[in-house]
Amino acid sequence: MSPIEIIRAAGLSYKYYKDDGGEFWALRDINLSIKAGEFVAVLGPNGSGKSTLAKHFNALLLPTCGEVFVGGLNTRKPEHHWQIRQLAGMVFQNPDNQIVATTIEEDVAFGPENLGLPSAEIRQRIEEALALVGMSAYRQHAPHLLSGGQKQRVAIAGVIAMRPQCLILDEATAMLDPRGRGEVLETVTRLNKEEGITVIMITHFMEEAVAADRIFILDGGQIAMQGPPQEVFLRVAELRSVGLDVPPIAELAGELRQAGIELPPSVLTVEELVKQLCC
Amino acid sequence: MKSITIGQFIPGDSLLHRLDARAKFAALIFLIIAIFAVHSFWGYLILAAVIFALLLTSQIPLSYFFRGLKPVYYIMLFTLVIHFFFTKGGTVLLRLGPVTIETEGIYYGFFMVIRIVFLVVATSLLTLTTSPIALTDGLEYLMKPFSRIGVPAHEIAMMMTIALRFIPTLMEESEKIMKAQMARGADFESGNVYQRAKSLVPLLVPLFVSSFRRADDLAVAMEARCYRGGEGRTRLHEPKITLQDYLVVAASIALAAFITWGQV
Repeated sequence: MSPIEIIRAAGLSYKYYKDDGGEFWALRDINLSIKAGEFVAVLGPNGSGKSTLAKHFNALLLPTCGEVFVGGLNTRKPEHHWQIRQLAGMVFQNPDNQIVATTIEEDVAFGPENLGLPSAEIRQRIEEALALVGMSAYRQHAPHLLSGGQKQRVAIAGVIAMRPQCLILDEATAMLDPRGRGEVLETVTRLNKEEGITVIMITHFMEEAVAADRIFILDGGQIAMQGPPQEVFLRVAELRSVGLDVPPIAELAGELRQAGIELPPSVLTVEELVKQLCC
Repeated sequence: MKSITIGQFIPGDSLLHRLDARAKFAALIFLIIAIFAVHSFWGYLILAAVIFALLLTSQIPLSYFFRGLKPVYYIMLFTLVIHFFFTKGGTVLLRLGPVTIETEGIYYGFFMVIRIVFLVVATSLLTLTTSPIALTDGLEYLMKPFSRIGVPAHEIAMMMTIALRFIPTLMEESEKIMKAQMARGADFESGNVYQRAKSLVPLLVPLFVSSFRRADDLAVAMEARCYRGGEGRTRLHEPKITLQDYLVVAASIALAAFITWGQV
C-alpha cells in the first residue's frame, strides 16, 4: 500500500438546520485518514451520517467545524472545488438521476466535456472507461434501456473518464437487485486492485464491506469502530448495539469458534469457510 | 413502453441525414421564407418539385410525412371553410340566401391549405432526418451569437437535452404510479372529460414530487462531475461544416431570393 494520503478529515463536524428550525449535528468530530489505493467501506444505520460524510469528500458539503483535505487541497477554498471533484468522483444512489445525456457515450463524455478536454481526448477516455466497466458494447444505447446494474456501471465509467484518484460510492448499490449489486461490486473491486483507484464505499450492506481493506462504522455522526473487516466483524455485540447485522458467515464462524472449532479471524466469505473447514 | 421513440427522428444515412443540423436549420428557414413569399400556383409548382425531390433524397417513407400532417387536418379544413365563405371577389359561384361562395374564396382557400401542407412537410424534413441531440446542439450553436445580449444559449440547450433524456424515465414512472393507484381502486378511464381530468390528480401529484427530487439529485450529480455551465466546456461531437452544408444553404437562399424577387 502506498503511503500517500488521499483524504484526511480533521475534527470534521457538520450541522444542519431541520425544517422545524432545530439544529442537528449530522457529523461530530470525525478524524480519519485514507491512503491512496485503499478500499474503505463506511457502514452505519440510517441517519448515522454516512452519506453526509461522503459528500464532504468531494466538497459537495463543507464542514461546519474542522477541515477536510482531498489530495492535500482544503475543501474550504472554493477555487479548489473543481480540482477536488475531478480527483474524487462520486457515484450516487439512484441510477436514473445521475445520467445526464441520451446516449451512454454522451453521458460518459459529460465529465471530460466539463473539464474542457479536446474531443479526440474525450473519445479516447470514453473508450477506456467503458472498457474498464465492461460496457463498451452499449456505447450508442439509450440509458433507459439498461438494467440498474448497467446504469451504475455507466455512472462509474462517467467518473473514471475524469481520471480520478478516488471513487466514492454513496450507497450506489442500495437500489439494485442482487445481480446488479454483484456487477457493481465486482467492477469496483477490479478498479481498486488493477487500476489502483482508491475506493470509498458507503453502504448498509455488511456483505459488501467484507472485501474492504478497512471499515469505518458510523453511529450518531461519530466513528464508532474502525479497522480491518476481520477485526471489526469479530465484535458482534458492539455491532448489534449500533443496529448493524454481522455478515452471516462472520457470525457463523463466531458461533463455531465458541463451539470449540478453531478458525482464523479472517473467515468472512463462504469460500474461506469451506476452505478452513474441509481442507 | 420500452420502445418509446423520442421526437420523430428516423435514423438513416441519406444526404439529408448527413448534413449539419445548423445548415439544415438555416436552409429550412429560407425554404419557409420562400413558402410565404409565393404569389402564384406556378411558384407552388417549383416549391413542390423542390420539396418532393428532398423527400426522395431523405429516403424516409412518405407515410411518415402524411402522419405529420394528421394533427393539422382540422386547421386545414377550417382554413378552407373560412376562405370559402368569407373571402369575397371574382364571380359568384353559389348563393344561399345571404351567404355566397366566390371564386377568390376558393382560390385563396386552396392557396392557404397548400401553404400549410408545405410548411408541415418541410419542417418534418428537418425533424425526421435530425436526431434530437443534433438538433439541440445545432440550436445551441445558432443561438450562441445572441448570448452576448443575454440569451442563455447553453442553458436552453442543456435543458432540452435533459428533458429529452428524462421523457422515457418519466413515462415509465407515470405508468408505475398509474398501476399503483389502479391497484388501490383509482379509475382513470370512465366518466366524462371533467371527471377523467380530475382522476389524473393522484397521478400528477406524485409525479411532480418525484420530478423535483430527481431534479435535485441530478443537479448534485452534475455538480459532482464538475459541471459549471457552458463556460470552458468542450464537446464530444464538435460539429463540422462541410462544403455540402454551404451548398445546401446557398441553394436555399437562391430559391428564397428567386421566389421573392421573381414574383412567382
